[in-house]
Amino acid sequence: MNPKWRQKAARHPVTKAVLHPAITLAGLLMLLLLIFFGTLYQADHGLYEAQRVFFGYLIWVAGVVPFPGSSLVLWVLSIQLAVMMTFVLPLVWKKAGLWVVHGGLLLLLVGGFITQMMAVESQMTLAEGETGHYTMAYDKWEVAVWRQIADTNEVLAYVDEDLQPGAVLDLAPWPARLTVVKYHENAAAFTSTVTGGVLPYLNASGIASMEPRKPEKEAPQNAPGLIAKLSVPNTPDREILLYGLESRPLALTLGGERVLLQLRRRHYPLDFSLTLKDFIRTLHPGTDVARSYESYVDLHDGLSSRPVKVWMNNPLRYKGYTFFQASFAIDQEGEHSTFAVVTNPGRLIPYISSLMVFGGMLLHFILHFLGYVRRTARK
Amino acid sequence: MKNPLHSLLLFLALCGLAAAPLRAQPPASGAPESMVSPDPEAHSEDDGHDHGSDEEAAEDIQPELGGEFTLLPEDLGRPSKGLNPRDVRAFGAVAVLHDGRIKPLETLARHLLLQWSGHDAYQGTPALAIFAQIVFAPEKTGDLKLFRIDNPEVAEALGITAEKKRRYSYRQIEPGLTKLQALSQRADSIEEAKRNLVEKEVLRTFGNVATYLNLTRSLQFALPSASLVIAVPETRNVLGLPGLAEGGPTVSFWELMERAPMMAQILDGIHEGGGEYSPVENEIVRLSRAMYLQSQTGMASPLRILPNPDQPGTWLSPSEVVATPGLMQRLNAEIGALAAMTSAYRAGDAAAFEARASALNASVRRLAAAEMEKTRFPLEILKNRVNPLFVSTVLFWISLFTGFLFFLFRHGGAASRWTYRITWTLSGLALFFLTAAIVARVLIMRRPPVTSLFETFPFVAAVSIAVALFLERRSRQGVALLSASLLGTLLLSIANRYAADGDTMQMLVAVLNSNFWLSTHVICITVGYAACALSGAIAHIRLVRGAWSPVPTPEQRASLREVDRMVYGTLCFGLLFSFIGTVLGGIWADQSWGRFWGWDPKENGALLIVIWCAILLHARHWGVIRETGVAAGAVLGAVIVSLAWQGVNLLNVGLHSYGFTSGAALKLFGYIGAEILFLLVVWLVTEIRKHKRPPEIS
Amino acid sequence: MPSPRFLSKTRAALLIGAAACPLLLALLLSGCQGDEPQPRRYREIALKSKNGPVQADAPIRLSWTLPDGWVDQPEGDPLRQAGFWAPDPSLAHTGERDPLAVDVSLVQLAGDAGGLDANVVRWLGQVKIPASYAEQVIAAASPVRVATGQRGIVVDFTDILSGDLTESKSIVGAIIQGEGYTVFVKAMGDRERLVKIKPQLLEFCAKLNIAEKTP
Repeated sequence: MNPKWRQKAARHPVTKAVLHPAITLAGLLMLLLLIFFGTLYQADHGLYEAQRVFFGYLIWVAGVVPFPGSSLVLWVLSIQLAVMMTFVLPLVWKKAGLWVVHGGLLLLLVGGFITQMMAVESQMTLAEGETGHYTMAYDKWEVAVWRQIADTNEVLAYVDEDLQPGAVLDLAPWPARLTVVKYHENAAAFTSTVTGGVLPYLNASGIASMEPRKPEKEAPQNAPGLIAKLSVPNTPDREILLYGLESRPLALTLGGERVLLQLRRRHYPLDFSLTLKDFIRTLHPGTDVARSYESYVDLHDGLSSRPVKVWMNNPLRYKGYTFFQASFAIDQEGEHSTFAVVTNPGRLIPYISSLMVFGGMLLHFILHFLGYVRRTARK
Repeated sequence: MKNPLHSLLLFLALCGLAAAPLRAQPPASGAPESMVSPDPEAHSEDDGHDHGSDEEAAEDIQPELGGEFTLLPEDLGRPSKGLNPRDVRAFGAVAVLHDGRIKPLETLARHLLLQWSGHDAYQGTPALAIFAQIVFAPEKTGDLKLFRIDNPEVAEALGITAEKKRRYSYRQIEPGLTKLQALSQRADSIEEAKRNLVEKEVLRTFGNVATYLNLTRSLQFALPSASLVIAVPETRNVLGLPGLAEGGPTVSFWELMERAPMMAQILDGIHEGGGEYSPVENEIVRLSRAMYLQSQTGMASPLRILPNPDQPGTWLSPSEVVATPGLMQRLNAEIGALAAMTSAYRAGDAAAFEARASALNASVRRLAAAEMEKTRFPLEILKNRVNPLFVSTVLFWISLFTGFLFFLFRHGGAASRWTYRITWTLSGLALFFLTAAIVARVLIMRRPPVTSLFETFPFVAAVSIAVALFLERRSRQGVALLSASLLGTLLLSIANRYAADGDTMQMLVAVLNSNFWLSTHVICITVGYAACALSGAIAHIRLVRGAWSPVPTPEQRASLREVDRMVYGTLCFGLLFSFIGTVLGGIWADQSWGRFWGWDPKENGALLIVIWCAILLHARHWGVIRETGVAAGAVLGAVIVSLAWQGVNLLNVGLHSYGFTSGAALKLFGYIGAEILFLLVVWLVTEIRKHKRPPEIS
Repeated sequence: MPSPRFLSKTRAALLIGAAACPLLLALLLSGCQGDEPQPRRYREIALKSKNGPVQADAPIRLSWTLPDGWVDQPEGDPLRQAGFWAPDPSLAHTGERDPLAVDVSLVQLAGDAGGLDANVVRWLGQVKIPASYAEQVIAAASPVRVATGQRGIVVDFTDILSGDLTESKSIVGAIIQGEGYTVFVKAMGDRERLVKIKPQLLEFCAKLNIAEKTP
C-alpha cells in the first residue's frame, strides 16, 4: 500500500535527481577515502588536528583543490536518506528489514550530530583524601579571575576563543580591564637566569619571556600563554603574563580586594562532589602490565553521601555525568586518580540506532539466506 | 645444613664481614674478586678529572663487561656429564612465572629458543634439553649457534663473518659484546617508532644475549665457581671437601653453604685471636667475601621458579632467594633440591635428577597451591608436544596441493573423485587440529579466543574455513574447498611467523581485560574479516574461471551463478558481522571511556569494511556493477580487510595497536600490489579472449 | 547510455547543489559572531585535601651557579625548578655535543616530601635496583653543605650493579631537608658518565643558595 502522493513524489525528477545512485555511491566512496586518509593523517598529526581538518565542510588538497569534508558528505547522505525514506522506499513487508536499517542509519547520523554539538568531555584528578567539586577541560582554556570567600571562589572567566589580540576583557565588578596583546595556543616560557633583575611582566612564577610553539600533536599537551595589558583607573598600565603550566595564580589588588588571575584549563562546576578515598592498582605478577585500576570514592550530594567503586569499564553515572577511571599517577605526594568525565545528552542514541541497523540487516539477510538454503537443498 | 637458622645467622655475619673490609681495600689487592664483579669503589674513588681520552674510557668499560659477561670458564676441573633429552622431562613440568603467567618450564624453553633462533628445537635436540644445559652446565653452551642475526650489517658490526644460516654462538658474539651493548644503548635512546631495521636487530640481539647470560647465571650458586677456588689442601680438609685430585680446585657456593658451621667456627676464632692470619684463615676470609659478592649477582634471571612465601603472587629466581637471607631460610628445601638437581645433572645421574625435580615440583605446588590450581600444565605440555597449529598448517599445504590436482583432473572421473575426497578429508582434519589449538589456548589461558593480534590469524582461518566447508557441502563444486585450503595455508603461515616472536600467550593490559565486551567485539570483527577474506578468496577463483571462459556454456553459467551467490552471500555475512563488531566496539569504548566513537584506527578500519560492503551491495542492487564487478569488488574488499587488520598496526597509534611487526609494511604493500596486478591481468585476459572467441560461437 | 533524461537529472542535481551552497555557508558563518566577549560567571569550591591545605607559596627561593659546561634545559616538566644537561667535563670547551650528557634536575617540595627512605626507594626504582638496597645506600651516603649553610646528604648508586644487564643508568643525588621544605638535586644518566660528573655535581650543591623566606 503506497499512497498516491508518495508514488507521485517518487517519480518527480527532483526526487530522482536527489536520489541519483551516482550521488550515493560517490558519497560513500568519498567517506571511505576520508576515513582512510584521515586515519593516516591522524597518525602523523594527532586526533585533534585530524578531526579539525577532515570534519570541515571542505578540505583544500595541496592548498588549491577542494574536496568535500566529512560534514558535507554526511549532510548529503542524510538528506538522501530522509528523502528516500519519505517518498521512495515501498511500504511493503518484504522491505521491512531495509526500513529498519535505513531508519537506524538516519538516527545514527542524528545521534552523531547531537554528540558533536552537545557532548562535553572533561576530567577530574584527585589525590587520595581530596574532594573535587568541578571538572576540568582537556584542551579548552580560560582566563579565570576570582576572589575567595571562605572556601568558595567567585569566578569570572573568559574562554580561550575570546582571547584575540585587541580584545578587551572587562573584569567588572572590579574596576579593571584586560586588553589582549598576544595569545599563543602553545608556547614555551622562560625564567631569567639572572636573579634579582626586574621582570618585564607581572607574573607569579618569575617568567621573563615567552615564545610561540607549533601546536602539539595531541591538543591537550598544548600550554598556551597570554600577554595582556592591565588597565586600572588612576594607575599606569602594566603588562601581565599568564602561562598555562604555572601552578600558582597571579595575585593582584583591585579595588582594595585581593584578586587571583590564572590561565587554566576550563573548569566546569558540579552541583555534587566526589572524595577519593583510595586508589588501588594491581599488576600481573612479575610484570608492569596492569591487571586493574580501582578508585574508591564517596559521592556527596547535599546532605547525602554514599561510597562508590569506579574501575575499568565500570563508570559512575550520576545526574547525566559519567565518571570513568581514566588514568593515575603516583608521586611524592601519594596516589592520584584521574577520571574522564563525560556529559552527552545523545548518549543512548547510538545504542538504539545500531540495534535497529543490526536487527534490520539480520531480518533482511535471514530472509535471503533462507532462500539460498532452500534452493541449494532442493538439488 | 642441620640447623637452617644457624646458617642464616652465619650468613649474615659473613656478609657483614665480607662487605666491610672490601670497601676499604684498594682494588689492586682484590685480584681474585675481580673475577666475580668489578670493584665498585675503583670508579668512584678515582673520579676522573683527567678521564679525557677515548682509550681510557674504553678501559673503563672493559673490566666491567669482563666481570659481568664472562661465562663460566671451560676448565673448572669438574666437567659436567649431562643428561639425555629424555631424562630432563621432569624439569619441563616445573612451574615458572614468566610474562605474568605461570607456565611449565617447557613452554618457556620453547619460546626462548624460538625467540633466539627462530626454531623450537636445536638441530634435533628439544628446546628443554638445550635449556637444561644452559642452566645446569652453561660452560658447554658457548658454542651452540643459538642466536639468529638476520641483518648482516649487525653481524659485521660485531666482527662476525656472516654465515649462511645466520645463526651464531655466544662465543662468536662475545668479542663484540661491548660494542653490542653500546649500540643497543644508542638504539634504546631512539623512540621506538623511529628505529630502523638495524637498530631493532641490535636491540633484539642484545636482549636475547642478555637473557641467555642471565639464564646461565641463574643457578650459579650450585655451580662450581671460578671465584671459589680452594687450592690449600688443608682448607679442603678442614671443610671436609674431597681432595684436589677428585673434585678439582673449584667448589660451588652451595657446597660452602653446607659447610657454613665449620667456616663460622674459623671466623669466630679470627675475631677472638687477632694478629696474623694463618693461610687457612686467610682463605676462609677470602672465600666468605667471594661468597657474599656471588650471592648478589644474577638477580635478573628469567628463571622465576620459586613462589615468594612472604608475598603471594610474586615469584623469585633462585639467585634472588640466595641473596636474601630471610628467604633463603624459608625456601631452604627448594634451593637444596635445585642444587641437588644440578649435581645430578652434572654427574649424569638421571634417576636422582628426576627424583629431585619431582620433589621440587611437589613442594612448589604446596607453596603456591592457589595459583597452581588455575594452571593446566598437562594440557599445555600436550599442546607443546603435538603443536596442533603446525600440524594444521602442514595439512592445509597438502590439501592445497591436492586441491589444485582436483582442478586439473576436474572432469577425470576416478582421479577427480579421489583428489576431491582427499582434499575434503585433509581440510576437515586441518580444521579439526586448528580448532583444537584454539580451544586448548582458551582452556589454558581462561580467556576468550581472540585477545591479541596473533590470535586473530588462527581464529579468522578457523571461521572462514568452517564457513567455506559449509558452503562446499551445499555447492560441491570444489571452489569453496580450494578457497578454504588457500586461506588456511596463507593465514596459518602468517600465524606461524608471529609465533616466532616468543610466547604468544601473554597477559593483557587492564583495558583489554573486560572479558564480555572484548570477546564479543573482537570476535565479531574477526568473523567479519573471515567472511570478507573468504568472499575475496572465492572471488579470485570466480574471476579466473570467468576470464578462462568469458562466453560460458549454459552449464558453466549455472555453475558460475552458484559461485556468484557464494561471493554475494559471504559479503552480506561480512557486512553484518563487521557492523556488529564496529558497534560493539563503540559500546565497549563508551563503557570504558565515555566515547562511542573515538576515531580509533582499528575502529576506522572496521568502518571501512562496512562502507565498502555497503557500496558493493548498493551498486549491485542498482545494477551499476554485475557479477564480475561484485567479484572484483570482493577482491578489493580483501585488500581493505588486510588494511584494516594489518595496516592499522603499522600506524602505531591508537588504543588498538597491540601488535607491531617490522617488515610487515613491505609485505602488506606487496600484497596490495599483487591484488591490483591480478585484477588487471584478469581484465586483460577477459578482453583478449572475448575478442578471440566470437567466430566460434556464432 | 547517456540519454537526454539522464542529462536533465544531472542538471537538477547541480541546481540542488548550487542551492545548498548558500545554506551551508550560512550554517558555517552562524558559528562565529563578532560580539564583545562575554565572561562566564560561576562559583566553585576549591580542591580540598583532607591532609590539610598544601602550602602553595614556597617558603624558599633557590639560586645557583652552573659548573663549567653545564647547560640549561630549555623547557622542562613543571614539577622541576630547573633542569640542566651535564656533559662529559672533557668536552666542556670542545663544542661537541655529548649524547650521554647527564640529566640534572632541581626540585623543591613542601614538607618532608614523604621522607628520606621513600625518596631513595623511588630513585632506586627508577634505575631498576631492588628497594632492599635503600638501607645500604643511605648508610653509605656522604654529607653535603650548601652555600647558605643547610646540610643534606648525597646518595650515590653508581657502585651498585642493578642486576639487570639492560639497565645502564644510575643516579647520584643530593637531598636537603629544611624547615618545611625539601630540595632534591638529582643527576640521572649513564653510570660511567655520572662518575665523571660527580665532582661537578658536588660543586653545584656546595654553591647552591637556599634563601629561606622569613614569615
